[in-house]
Amino acid sequence: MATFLIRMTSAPYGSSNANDGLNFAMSATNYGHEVSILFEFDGIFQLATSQSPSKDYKNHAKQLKALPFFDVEPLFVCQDSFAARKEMIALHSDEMIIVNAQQKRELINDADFVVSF
Amino acid sequence: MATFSLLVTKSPYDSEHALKAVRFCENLLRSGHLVDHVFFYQGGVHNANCLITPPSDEVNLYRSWTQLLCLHPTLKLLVCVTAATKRGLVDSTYATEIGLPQFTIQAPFEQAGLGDFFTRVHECEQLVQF
Repeated sequence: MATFLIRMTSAPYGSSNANDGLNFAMSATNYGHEVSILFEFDGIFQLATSQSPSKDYKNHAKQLKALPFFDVEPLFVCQDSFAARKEMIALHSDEMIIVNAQQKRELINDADFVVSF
Repeated sequence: MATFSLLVTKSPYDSEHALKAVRFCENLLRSGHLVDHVFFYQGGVHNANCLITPPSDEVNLYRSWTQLLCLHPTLKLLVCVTAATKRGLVDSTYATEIGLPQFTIQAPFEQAGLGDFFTRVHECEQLVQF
């Protein structure tokens, strides 16, 4: 068993990174690994609650809600990245743990493997 | 000596990630480390396209990947089947099965799922993403 930290750095829909990262995370726990996610940079936009993509896309916000059922937790949010974008999104802070730069370094150091999407 | 897993998520030629990955892998193997597998995910699956034909004065990344097997015959080159098929990368069995005119993946590359990757990662001490 290994511990993965998945760094989500891309906005949803503009590239496949957000969706591929979620599939990667949910598959990892299915095979006995522990996974936590850190949202940072434009990955903060994945947390926007008012997403209404066209039918060509899967609704990313709905997929995020399924993460606890796949034991993908906890979910961390980069404090600096969120501060730079907080006027644009509402964050359900009770479901997320906001981390500062020092705490981010600790998360990265403590994980066995770090993968970015 | 450590056992490595390499995760390649970028296509060849559009960036230097794939070139760095294959050179890193060569150096690991020459240094006596064990590379259990390379897993190609996202755009990285394009590295497995057997029709890749770069100009003769440019590095042939497809050939570089396949030549790694000379250094380490048990190395697995695993291509995420979901990411690959939606990008037109299919092996001969699947191409025949669904009536495609051409296959684009052949040995030593193998189609595999994320589950195969995560199962093999249990045996690895290091994972490096490119």
